[in-house]
Amino acid sequence: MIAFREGENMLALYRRHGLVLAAEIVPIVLFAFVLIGVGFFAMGQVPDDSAPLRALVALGILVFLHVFWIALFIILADFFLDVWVLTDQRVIAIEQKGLFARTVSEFDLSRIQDVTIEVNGIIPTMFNYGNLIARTASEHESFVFKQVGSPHEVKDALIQASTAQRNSALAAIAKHAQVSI
Amino acid sequence: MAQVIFFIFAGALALFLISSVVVLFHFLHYRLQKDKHRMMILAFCVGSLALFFLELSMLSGADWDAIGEIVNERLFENSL
Repeated sequence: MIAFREGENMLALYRRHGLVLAAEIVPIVLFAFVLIGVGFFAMGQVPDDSAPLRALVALGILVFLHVFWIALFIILADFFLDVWVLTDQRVIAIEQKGLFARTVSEFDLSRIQDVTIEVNGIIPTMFNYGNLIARTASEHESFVFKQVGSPHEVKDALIQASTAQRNSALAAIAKHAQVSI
Repeated sequence: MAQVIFFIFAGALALFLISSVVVLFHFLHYRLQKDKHRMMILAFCVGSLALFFLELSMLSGADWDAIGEIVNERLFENSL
């Protein structure tokens, strides 16, 4: 999916905080358990002379469980395919939107102008996740990574990689200038 | 009536099969860290196959004629 350039090394891979995934999954799991409970209750309420209807109720429960199962893994796929890949040359930002839409952006580390972190709310503060906004000198001015875990560490890694990339570019220019002389 | 219910459930199963293939494709094609996704792919396949097996068992094992009679008798004739 991602083609690295020659000599490019991946430094880190960042995803949204796990609590965000849990907040999306827990309601589905709870609702599935409630559905199973209601289904068994409904099957118990079917009179004996209508016993064949129990198979219909059971089939209905299985169908709804299957919907929840697929929805669960769509949420997982959406979570695991939202990533920021930090290499020693650029950042590749992949945002999966549902199953049939995704946005892939990239920006060179040398184009980063500033990095901003937003941590709003009690739970993001307690669990240390928030939005990271990287402003660049390009047509697409800012890149936002939402709900990333340990945003301060990500910011530090980004700035460190950007500084290292600029220093290596300057060193290459200086070396070329010396060779020319 | 029984046939209508049967085809509705059969259509739902076909839709689930297509959805499962799409989800599986996403996990297989877009993996960035293959090792970490292996268990998720396995869990999804096992769960989906188990649900499909149970649904097909219920679909083929149900007495659809009796269900149709009960539905007609309870829902339509009694309501009239």
